[in-house]
Amino acid sequence: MVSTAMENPYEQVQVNILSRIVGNIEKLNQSVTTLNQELDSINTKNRNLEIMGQICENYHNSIQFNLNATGNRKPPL
Amino acid sequence: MRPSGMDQPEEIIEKLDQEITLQLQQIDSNLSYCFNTITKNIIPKVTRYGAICDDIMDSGNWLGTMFQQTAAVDLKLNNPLVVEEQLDASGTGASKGAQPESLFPTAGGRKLVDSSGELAIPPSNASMSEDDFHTANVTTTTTGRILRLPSDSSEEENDDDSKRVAREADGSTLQRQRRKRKVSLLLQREYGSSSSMGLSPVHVNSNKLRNPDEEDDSLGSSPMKVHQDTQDESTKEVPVPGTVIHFATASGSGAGAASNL
Repeated sequence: MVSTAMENPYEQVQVNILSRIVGNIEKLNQSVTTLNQELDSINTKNRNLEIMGQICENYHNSIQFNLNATGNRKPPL
Repeated sequence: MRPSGMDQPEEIIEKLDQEITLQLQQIDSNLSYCFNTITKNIIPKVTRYGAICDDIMDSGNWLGTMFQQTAAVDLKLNNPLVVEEQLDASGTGASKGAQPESLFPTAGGRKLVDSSGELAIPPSNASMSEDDFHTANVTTTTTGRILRLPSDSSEEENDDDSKRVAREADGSTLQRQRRKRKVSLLLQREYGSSSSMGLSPVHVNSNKLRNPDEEDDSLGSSPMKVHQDTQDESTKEVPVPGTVIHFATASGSGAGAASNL
């Protein structure tokens, strides 16, 4: 009983801190979810950008191949 | 030894409790620090990066339309599987064999509702189903920018009368976005402050110079055009009355957009 009476203030403090931690984690969770949404939208945009880059690269490759095949390729200026 | 043995468990318990409280406080402070960094540092930067990516997509969207219309191909950038098929069908594929699988593992069923990514143009029906395309864009956008601009339909009709074929289906979303930006810029310049011209000079001058040209150059995302605008910035900085006249034309749309906002 003495030991529990001794532990009680610490327990209260710890319970207070734990409740604060829980609140902090909730806030953190919300912010992380918003961040995830942002990153998701950015991922979609970047996927489109990457597709465009692939298209341009393929276009470049085909142009180089055609220029080589027709012998019209000239050295860079 | 006994008093020490009697004192030790209580002391140990006290020390443990103190340490536990200290650790909990540290955890709490770390969590709050983490929250602050995420909300104050990371999220604004990520949003800025997203805005920059939007700008990049807006500026590079003409490439998509160009490739689509030159190849007479309906290239849906929204659907990566179709893109993969198209790329494989184009046959030039150097780097496509491994990339699309690794790039799009989960996005098979996901539809992008971003307005910048919508390049789905039926090439033959592009001129016919333009209005349907507009409505489809309007309904599918989640950003809400486009939904707020029904008043630009008159402008749009004027622009649609102005026979620009290359932008007829895809440029509409771009036009709306750019018009929204123009409207916001003009509103800032007119109502917000006449002295603070803190906006980027390229945008401002592009607005200043595009408004005279019946806003037909709203697809002018090519670097040449921007360069011309920046060149004209030094020369045409002086004649203010011309800009005033074009403010009068643009303020109607601006007022309409303001009423919508």
